[in-house]
Amino acid sequence: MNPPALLLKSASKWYGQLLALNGANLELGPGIHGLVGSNGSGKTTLLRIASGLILPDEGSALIHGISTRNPQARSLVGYAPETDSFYEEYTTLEFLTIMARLHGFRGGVAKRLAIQALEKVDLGDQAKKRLRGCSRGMRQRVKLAQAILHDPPLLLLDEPFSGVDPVVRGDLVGLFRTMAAGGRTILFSSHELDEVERLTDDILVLVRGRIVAVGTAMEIRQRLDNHPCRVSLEWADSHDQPTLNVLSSEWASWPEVSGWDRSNPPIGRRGCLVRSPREGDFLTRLHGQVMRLGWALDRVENLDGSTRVLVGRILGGKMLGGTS
Amino acid sequence: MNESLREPGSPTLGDFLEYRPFHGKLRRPSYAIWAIGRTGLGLLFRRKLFWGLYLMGLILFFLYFFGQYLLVWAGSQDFGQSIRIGPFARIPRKELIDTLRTMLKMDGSPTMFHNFFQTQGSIVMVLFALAGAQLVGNDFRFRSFPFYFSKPIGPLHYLLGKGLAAAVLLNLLTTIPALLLFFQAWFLGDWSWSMEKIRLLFSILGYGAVLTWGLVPLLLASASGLTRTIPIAMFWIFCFLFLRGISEGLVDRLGYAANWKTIDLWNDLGMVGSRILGIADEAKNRNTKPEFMVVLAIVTVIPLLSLAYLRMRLSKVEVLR
Repeated sequence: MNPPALLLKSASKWYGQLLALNGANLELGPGIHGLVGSNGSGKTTLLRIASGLILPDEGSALIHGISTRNPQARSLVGYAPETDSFYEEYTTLEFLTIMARLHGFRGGVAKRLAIQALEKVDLGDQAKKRLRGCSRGMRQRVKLAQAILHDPPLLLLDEPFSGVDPVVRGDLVGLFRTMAAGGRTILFSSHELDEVERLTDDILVLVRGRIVAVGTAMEIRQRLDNHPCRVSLEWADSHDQPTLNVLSSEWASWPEVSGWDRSNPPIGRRGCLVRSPREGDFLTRLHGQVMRLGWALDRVENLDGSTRVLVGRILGGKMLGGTS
Repeated sequence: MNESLREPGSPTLGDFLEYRPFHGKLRRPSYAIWAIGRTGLGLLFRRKLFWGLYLMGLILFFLYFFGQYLLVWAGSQDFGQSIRIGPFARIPRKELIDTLRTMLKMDGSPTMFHNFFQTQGSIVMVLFALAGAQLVGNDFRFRSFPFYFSKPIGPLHYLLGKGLAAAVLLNLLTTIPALLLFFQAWFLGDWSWSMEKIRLLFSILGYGAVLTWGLVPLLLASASGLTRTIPIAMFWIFCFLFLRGISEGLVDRLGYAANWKTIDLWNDLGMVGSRILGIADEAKNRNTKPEFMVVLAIVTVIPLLSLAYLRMRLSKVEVLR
């Protein structure tokens, strides 16, 4: 049986008094995995430990069965850091050739790999462009190119979509999918939760250095099914006020409803915002009530149901990206 | 690239995604030292300023180079003949030979090489002060280390690579020109090899090694701590101009113990170098000459302290912990 692409066993890392990673246990196989967490949650530390850049103070990290304490393990990893501090005087091709040489490739091979990597990130025609003149998106792609140029089985990407325009982003997503389909393992961190959900098979949620949830977006949703939430209900004007009064009088006795607000419905419609401590139970009971009364709801929306908000909830009430 | 904008039939990104894994043998991580050193030198010599400074540094080399030719040429002229210098001036041949041989010592002797190394010091200081930020400082300042250390290399390879670049820069200004002057003197002389010449050849190499040992770790350490060009330049001015002035003031004017001269590192390196070249100490007043063992200790300890500081700096870099 092949060892997992990445295996973290109780990996912990302190920076002075700060516990940056707290006993992380993780086993990743081929495919794309998204790492989500707020600033300072330990995403970069986890990626650096996984890449062998830093060693865990406790526990261990293994890449395809090789401990990251062995420098050769780094040959199996492509790491694109968040920073993009390059040598600005060099061209993109020269920079990548240098990176290939650091891996141990000889001159001609290093240059060939650099050209291939540039083509893969769609910068084949920018080989002679100096890094000083590269846009943010191009720099992101150069970072990615230096990570994939030696065709590693494990790719660790720190915020790879930051500063990349939507068109290039789409290309990168395609590239990642193709690489993953070829049996490679990709772990990337992002604040773009929508992007994570669209791209990944698997989401890891990191809170204050601890992996608190691992699974698909659906699994994470199910785990959080009965969390407090706000549900927006909308219906046509044809429903009269007394009917709603009947409904709401029933809600008053439901433990699944903690309150409702009928102010500010959308123009031309009637609406109601219900607060529930247990979303799943509330929606089940609401469904029965609506069926019983023969009442037609046009729209039921969990305002706190997006991945962004779910993850924000896991993070202790903080909403990522400043929205909720 | 937007798919809809592509010409029909043109290659798509997917066409480039066929990986061709490398099946050859990778070089050992120690080969990365050369790659790092070459990258460092490339960073320096892609700047016109460095070429300008380097060419300035070679002016002295050309002075010695043509001085040696002039000496040989003047020696081949008829005795008593005066030699025309420029369109108007004439100088007696004997006076010219005396000036070149006795005053400027352009005679291929160990003293000439000592003078050459010592006078190259000023331009070396200027170049090093400006090179520090480019070579090492920016890596610390802009946190470039993940690009290095995500590869199968360690801090030692990084340090040796950067040190190699600094050493090449230093020796391009000192040891290599000195070797050229040595071979020129040999060609202009009797073309014979003697133990004395072989000893001089190795002494030149030894002098270069002493300068490399004394200055390169100090450069890397100061650049890792100060990171920016101006502070690094100020540090070098302090070490090699200010401390020189202080040492001369203390010893020569205020009569402090001669060992105070050892705070002038360039003078210390020169003293060790002159010992290697086997020339007599040229201090006019023996009372102002520091003890050689103290000098040797300084020349040994300062680079060691620099390396210890470098190690500490690297250990504080987040990615290396």
